[in-house]
Amino acid sequence: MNSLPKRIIKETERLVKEPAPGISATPNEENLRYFNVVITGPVDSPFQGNVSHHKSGGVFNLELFLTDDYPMSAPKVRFLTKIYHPNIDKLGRICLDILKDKWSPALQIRTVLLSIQALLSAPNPDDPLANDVAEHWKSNEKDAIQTAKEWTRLYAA
Amino acid sequence: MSDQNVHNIVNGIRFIGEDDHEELDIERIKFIMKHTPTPPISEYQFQELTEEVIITKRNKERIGDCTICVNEFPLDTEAIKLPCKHYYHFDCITQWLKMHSNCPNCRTQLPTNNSEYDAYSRILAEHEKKEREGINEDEDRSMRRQTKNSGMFS
Ligand SMILES: [Zn+2]
Ligand SMILES: [Zn+2]
Repeated sequence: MNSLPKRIIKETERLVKEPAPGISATPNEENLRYFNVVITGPVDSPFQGNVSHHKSGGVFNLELFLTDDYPMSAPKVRFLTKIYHPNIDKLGRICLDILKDKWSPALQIRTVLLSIQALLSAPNPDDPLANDVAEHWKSNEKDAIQTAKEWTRLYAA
Repeated sequence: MSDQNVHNIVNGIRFIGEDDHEELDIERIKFIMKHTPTPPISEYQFQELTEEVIITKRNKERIGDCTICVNEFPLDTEAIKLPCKHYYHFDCITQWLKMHSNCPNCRTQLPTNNSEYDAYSRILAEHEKKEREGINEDEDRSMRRQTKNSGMFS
């Protein structure tokens, strides 16, 4: 494995020192290219925790890995917590353009995580990864949101 | 591929386009583009389009840091300036442009080493522009329809 580029060190320092609201990213002690990420479900989204009990729900765990190509290729990110979302599949893989062909080395770990947080606020069933969820979202949005809330309560506690 | 060939392809597509098959061809181009990795910038164009700028006390602050490696440009060294006025270290930007042909900061598309790809992207861009204008018209129309029919649902 190559030595850690200065860019990764700088990004990590900033992520730890000035975390973005609702997002934490902690590098693994044995592998500084692997991060444990926690995203809090955005307020007014079906992924928000129970507001009256501070510690109940709306907490999503993700893993993020920077390959040797980074920043020439996007970070690899995956949800570890089960989530009912049209753009996130059963394996936690995320359908987000900046993680694929719209990646640019001017983006950073922080911008990627903010985009994922934004995706929780604005699911896009027209560009689905989880087709059954997207169908549900399109045919009965109210019901789909109910299921998403249920999953948040069950799995994201 | 020679420019003449590209010229023929482009004209060919225009010609077919006049023949009511335009949609099919756009779909074909979209499909091809989707499965074609972004070609690198043309080396010739890189020479032609980029500028080497010496970093001085006067311009250093305005230029800022290289967004690829997030390091500064040391004084008296050269930075590469793209036509969109974004600056990078030579090693940083050439590594990116070996596999892509856009500016990391603003995504401005630069000419690639594949003129067919460039021709296709021009056609798609034109088509998307037309489509956007078309959608606006459609929206106007459906808005009018809604207003007209609104009595049905009230
Ligand atoms: Zn650089
Ligand atoms: Zn630019």
